[in-house]
Amino acid sequence: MTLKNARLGRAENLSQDLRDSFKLPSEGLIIIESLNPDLRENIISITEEGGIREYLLKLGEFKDASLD
Amino acid sequence: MITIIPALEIMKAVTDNNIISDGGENRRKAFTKATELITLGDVTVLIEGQIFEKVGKRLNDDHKKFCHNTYRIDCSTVGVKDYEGNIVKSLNWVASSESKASNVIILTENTQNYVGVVSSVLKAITPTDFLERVNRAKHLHRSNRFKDLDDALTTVFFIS
Repeated sequence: MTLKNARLGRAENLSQDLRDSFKLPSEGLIIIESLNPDLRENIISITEEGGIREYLLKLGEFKDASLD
Repeated sequence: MITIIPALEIMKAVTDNNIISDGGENRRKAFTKATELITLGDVTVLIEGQIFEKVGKRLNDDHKKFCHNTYRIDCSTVGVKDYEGNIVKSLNWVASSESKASNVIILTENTQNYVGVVSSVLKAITPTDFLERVNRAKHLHRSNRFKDLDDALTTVFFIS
């Protein structure tokens, strides 16, 4: 499955049912993904420890490229 | 409105496979905090185009899609003579231009690279300082000293 779109959101703005179904905390940063090929929606909580890096790694490993 | 512009070392820390480096953790935390502020206030995160091109060597298509969906990629200096290959000069130019439309925070370990453009509406701030100030602004907002988080952020970063 590949990412078609991603939106930032807040867990506290979702209904309790939706939070329960995606196992989200009661508040905090979330990413709402639209996934190919069937336009499935997935919602992920971004933790303070892992942050955006952890989310990016979920999308795949970083290539080993030197940036100097 | 506040625009946060991460410098190259911040983006390197987010995408580096070797994450055991001094200061790297704070750089990654500051980038995540900047991203979170997009959902809490009138805040955007702008990635300078040459920095995105450089970091893009480490990214796959999904990583890039996420970045394009989430952040503003400003390619003003890409392909421009005298700017191509000079990331500090490019970031100075983009930040200065952006500051005519918005309050700007350059997130960087090398604040001395931006002294020429710093002003009342443009600040160069280290990740450690950024995290401390965001926490202070959130505290001021939670304790009702400011009705809006945007006002608290503006005060903490640009007035106090």
